[in-house]
Amino acid sequence: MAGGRIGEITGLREELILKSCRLAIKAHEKSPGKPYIHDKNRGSTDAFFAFPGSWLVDHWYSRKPFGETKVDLSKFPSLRSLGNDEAALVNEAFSTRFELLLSKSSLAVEVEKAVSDQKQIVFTGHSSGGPVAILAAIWFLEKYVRPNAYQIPPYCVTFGSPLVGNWIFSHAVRRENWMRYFINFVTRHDIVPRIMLAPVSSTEQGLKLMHELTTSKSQYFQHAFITKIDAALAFFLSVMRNASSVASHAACKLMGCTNLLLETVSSFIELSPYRPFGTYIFCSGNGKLLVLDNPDAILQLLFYCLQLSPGEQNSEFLCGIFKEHLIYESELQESLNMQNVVYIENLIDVPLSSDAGTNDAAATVNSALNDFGLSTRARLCVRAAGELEKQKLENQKKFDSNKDTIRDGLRMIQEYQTNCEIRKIGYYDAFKNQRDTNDFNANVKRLELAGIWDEIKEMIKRCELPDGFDVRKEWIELGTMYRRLLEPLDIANYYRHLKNEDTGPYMIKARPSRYRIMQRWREHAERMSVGSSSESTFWAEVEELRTKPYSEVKDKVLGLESRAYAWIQDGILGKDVLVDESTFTKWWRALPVQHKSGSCIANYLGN
Amino acid sequence: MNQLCLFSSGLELANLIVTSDLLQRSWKEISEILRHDHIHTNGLTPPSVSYKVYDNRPNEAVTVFSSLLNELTLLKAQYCNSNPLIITGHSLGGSIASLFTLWLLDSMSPNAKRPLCITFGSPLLGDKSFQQAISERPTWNLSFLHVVSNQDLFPQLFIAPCNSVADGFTSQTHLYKPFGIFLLCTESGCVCFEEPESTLELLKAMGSKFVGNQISQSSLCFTDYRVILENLKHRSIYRGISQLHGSIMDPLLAGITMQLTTIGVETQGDGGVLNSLTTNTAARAKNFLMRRRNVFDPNKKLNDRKVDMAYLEWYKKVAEEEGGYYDSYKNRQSGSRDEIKSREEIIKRHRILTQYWKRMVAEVKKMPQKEGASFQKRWLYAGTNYRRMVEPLDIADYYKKGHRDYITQGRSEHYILLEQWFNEDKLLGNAIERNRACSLTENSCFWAHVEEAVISCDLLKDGQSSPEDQRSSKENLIRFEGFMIDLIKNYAVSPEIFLPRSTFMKWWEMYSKIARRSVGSPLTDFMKKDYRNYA
Repeated sequence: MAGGRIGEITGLREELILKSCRLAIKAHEKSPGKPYIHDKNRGSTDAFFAFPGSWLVDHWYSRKPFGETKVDLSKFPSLRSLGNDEAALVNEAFSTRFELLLSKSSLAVEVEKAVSDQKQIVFTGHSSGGPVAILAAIWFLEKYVRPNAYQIPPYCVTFGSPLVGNWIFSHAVRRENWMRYFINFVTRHDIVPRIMLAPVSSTEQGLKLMHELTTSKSQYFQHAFITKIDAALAFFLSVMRNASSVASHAACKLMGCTNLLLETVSSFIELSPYRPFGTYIFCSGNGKLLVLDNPDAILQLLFYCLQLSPGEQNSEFLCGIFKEHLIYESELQESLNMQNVVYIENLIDVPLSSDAGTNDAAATVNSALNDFGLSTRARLCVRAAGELEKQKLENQKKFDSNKDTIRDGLRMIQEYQTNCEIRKIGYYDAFKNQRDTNDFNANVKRLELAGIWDEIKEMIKRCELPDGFDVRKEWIELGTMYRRLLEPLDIANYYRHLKNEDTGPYMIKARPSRYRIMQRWREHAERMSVGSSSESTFWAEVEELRTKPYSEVKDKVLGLESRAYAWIQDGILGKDVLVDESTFTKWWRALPVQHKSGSCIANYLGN
Repeated sequence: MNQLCLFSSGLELANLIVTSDLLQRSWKEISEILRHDHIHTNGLTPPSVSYKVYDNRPNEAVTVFSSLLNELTLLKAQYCNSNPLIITGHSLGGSIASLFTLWLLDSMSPNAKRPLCITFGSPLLGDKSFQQAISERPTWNLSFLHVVSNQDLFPQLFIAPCNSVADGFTSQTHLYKPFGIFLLCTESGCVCFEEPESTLELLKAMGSKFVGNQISQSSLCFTDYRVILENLKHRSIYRGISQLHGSIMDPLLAGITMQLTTIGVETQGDGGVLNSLTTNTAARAKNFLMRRRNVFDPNKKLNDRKVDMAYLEWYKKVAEEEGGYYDSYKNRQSGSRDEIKSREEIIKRHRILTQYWKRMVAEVKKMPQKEGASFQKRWLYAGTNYRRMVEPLDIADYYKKGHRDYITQGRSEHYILLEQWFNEDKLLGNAIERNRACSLTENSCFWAHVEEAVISCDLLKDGQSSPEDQRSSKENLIRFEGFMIDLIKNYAVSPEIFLPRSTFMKWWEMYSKIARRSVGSPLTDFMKKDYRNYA
């Protein structure tokens, strides 16, 4: 739970962290006008890209109230939820700044060069340069690491960076197991990492103020500040109140508050969608570091670390808060020298009372929590985040223990398929006819398996499983196998009961979401285009096409044929669809002769 | 699964509410009307309706409500479907706001956003049945947020320790129970409570400072919630308690202890141990959370029920050789071991399905009418399928025992409701026109009609029966004939009723002998030639 050197915990050499910091601040303060700083030391194995920030309101919010927009999935295909098929939200202004950089500067070229030189790439940014560094790192991961085009994952180190994306953003980064590449330093009282928790209406003046303060020479900082004390206080209070609402709202959910009032109240108020992700390293201001990687706990800390104790609301303290955004370099230097690091891995063991500490480990953690001013309420929220994470792992374990049941079920359906084929009838048609006990047994098995998968699906939709559940190889394989074997039976059942007549086509009206999720799993894992792994719905297409005159659906028939050809070639679609008695064969043979003679599957089905 | 770790989120929910400006906005509306009219509406978003303190006779909320009925009816018509809507009121005005909200909830369209009713310093409004009626409908209960300050005596009026005050109004103080969510606040913080027993006890504990003091009616002075709310909002940026007495490790108990401390209620008894108020509150919170977690979730078991249905479907298919599953089930006799086993299987599935759907229907019934409607949609298909498949088995059992008049005497309520909901849905334009026979007879009471027709035939044949019986039997049979023809025309009966040896075919055999008409009827014509082609 405790201890360790910062270099070991983050996996990034400490001198590189320090260098990132130096470059980030240099880019932000001393090189305005430059799109970024590229530090390429010829002899070194590392390449740094440092991005400057900006205080222009337009560079923070492009719209009211929170300035978020859907992420561009063509550039960031991973940034979405596979369970709910929803794109992540990203701050539009930050995202635009990155896009401009990518299209207008030589960033892409220089990165390409660094890659060809086999360098360890580090993206870094201070203040609102942080979000650009984060987006650059994700762009890099999507472009080079996911396709296995480059073996050295990048690092992204930010200092006092505002938040960039919503919970899906955070979820997707965790799912891809990228969060360890994102290291965010936040000094305890720095207000900037909290700004995005408030709407533009309450931070606009604050950003202007920050601009004035940070551009004034450091010896005049105090003086400049005193003249703006009222604006500074208003800014601080409104950010804190908004942060408080967001933290409380999140805490209610962490604590499993099933209270519908929460829903009702939430529908009347607007809360910031932004959430943290990656590893957060909180700096106490006296050389101590607190490391966390649970995004829910980090969100709570962002608020609670900045809570005041009575009597702290004075100009000196307030001035200190604003200064803290500018002292990362010295703070980091001091912390790295001291190496007083507490890494809280196990959030559920966090002591609740500030006087706790019966054994050494608990006492260490406790003293760190005290250094960051965490009250019992804050500690309860952190505990709740830990319990939720633990619960998710328990849920995953429970499903893992179901794997054998699923495998047995699939084996039974495979045997059923084989037996049908021996009798020269595809299992699709046999199932649709429901003539003998085997068909009935397959039907019972179909429903049993659907029960297990639906339970998993529900948990995925409600985010009750670990983020990485959607990309586990074994489950994707199991899901794909299940989908290919069982979805035809669901389709057969649907058309057997003529539900298409009452309800409409299976694909539009009735396809169970468990299959949709599993198809997305595979398409995502294999980096296929959306909708291209639709082999399991082959029969639904056939059923719809065969009720329509050929002339109306000619193009669709051609499309289906060419896909079917490829699927049969690859062994993805069973050859039993081609037996003489199959609905597909019978329908195809009744197509116009002209069509058949030119068809790519004529060889399979020609007499 | 390991034991669940529970938390109480009362502090967090309260903090979200006070930092969100929702209460401030509502209070602003109220302060407006304190200067103006007694009802105030605000066209800004969200629109809100507020009521002023009417006078100091809080037990007359209903009377005042009735006296305002005309105005309120207008308001209701105006705001029923506008959303989001906040309804608010102070003191007695809050009670009227609550009543108005209930009235509104009762007539809201199912998909409308629920309104939120916020009361400030309102006295308790109803008794235990009132509370239960509301809490049975979770979405109703959670539309109410009652803000109560410890400086405000009004909310204490109908609570026992304040008898000295309350006696002036009513002697039945113990009758009143809280409903909805309470936001209890003091100068040092605020907490939300939902569990009603604890809410009542904490209200008492907060009000205990009023007891003993000489309180005259004139001291029921106005409490300005604006000041209270401003203070609470400001407090959220300050660090709260960071030390817990003793070594509480359980997060739920720690949470409750903090909540009570926050609202100034003593948590320790003699010797520094937690007092019973604290431990009881924690225990009730735990119970409450567990009950919440274990609410009936029909989703969970729907797939299992589909398996049961598959068994029955298979049984229906296999039984075609024996004249259909209705007659097979009715005439079940001892057979081979396998047959007995499969029958037992069917009886078991039948029982499980009935239990599930009875429970399901009971849950839906508890929902307010309109809310039920949206809920049904998802279940209507499965429920209708179940009713059509399984009710014939109940009918078979019923007539096998020699009973009569299933539809009026023997039909279980859950079938009646399932059918009623289905028909309501059909009226909404979800009916389907058929052009081939359905596989399950649409009218799930079909076999009861057949059985009654058989009984009528028996009566007619029976020379002993009274002329009255004879006449009514004849009428019944003619009616049944018409009923049959309609069903056949609409393809609403399953072809399996025409299977040889089915009760229907037996009836037809009897009936065609009795009727011996010279002129053919549509049914006679159909049964002569067409029925074999019915499909």
